[in-house]
Amino acid sequence: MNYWILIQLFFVLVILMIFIYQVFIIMAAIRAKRSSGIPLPSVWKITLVASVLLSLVSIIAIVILR
Amino acid sequence: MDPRLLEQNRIERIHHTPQTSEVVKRLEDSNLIKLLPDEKILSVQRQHWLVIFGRMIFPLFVAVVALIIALILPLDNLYALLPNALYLKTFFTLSVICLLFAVVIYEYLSWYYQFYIVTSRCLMHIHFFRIGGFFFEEVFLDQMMQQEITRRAPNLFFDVLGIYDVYVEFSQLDRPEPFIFKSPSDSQYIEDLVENLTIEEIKKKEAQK
Repeated sequence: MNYWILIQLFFVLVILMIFIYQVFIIMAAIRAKRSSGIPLPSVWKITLVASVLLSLVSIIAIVILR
Repeated sequence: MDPRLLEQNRIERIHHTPQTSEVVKRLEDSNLIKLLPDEKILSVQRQHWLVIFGRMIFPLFVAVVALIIALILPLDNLYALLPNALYLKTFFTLSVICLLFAVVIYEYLSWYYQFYIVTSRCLMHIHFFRIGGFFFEEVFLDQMMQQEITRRAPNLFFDVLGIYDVYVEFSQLDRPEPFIFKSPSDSQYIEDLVENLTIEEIKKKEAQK
């Protein structure tokens, strides 16, 4: 059972890192939009938000599933 | 009709599509690009769209292979080691999908917010989307003497497809390293444009003498 907690912790950390990376991507995208004035296509906005939500849901799922 | 005028019309038809004009207008309005009164933007180009494909192909391949391995891995062997092998597979799949999304979005945004701009006075490379800050490179054509303008293919695949890098080389004293347009969407147009600007600059200098 201890192994299982370690595995869960490993995956939570991996997806948490991906989540932090995605937050940096969002921040950089907002900065790019402000400085250039060129908006991001809606499809990519949705994809960006969906990917962040997926990471969050994944973290919650890994914590909940036992 | 004058063949040069015909060529100019052809170029304008290609490069002044509504989408490009919109980008030019927005860039002119932004505070970053300060144009002189007699300066105008002649060309704004992103990298060729195949560049994103080239950057994404390796992560996509790795992700697909990882997912296939995870899905076809026999559960019986894992059950002997772990009680929740199905969960393990799910976690792995979720991690790979999340990572893939992040990489694909990063590569797309990196391409989307990167421009090579040629104005009547300078060459610019602007990278708006950067996690570690903003990148802006500018070379004033009237301050430097261009020595050579060449097109080189970055690899064999791009050579076959006609996608080239454009190298603008200057005299060693002015700028030792060349200004590189990396795989612009129309390298031929960039080359012609810089060549024309160089000729104009030489004529101006000769007239001043």
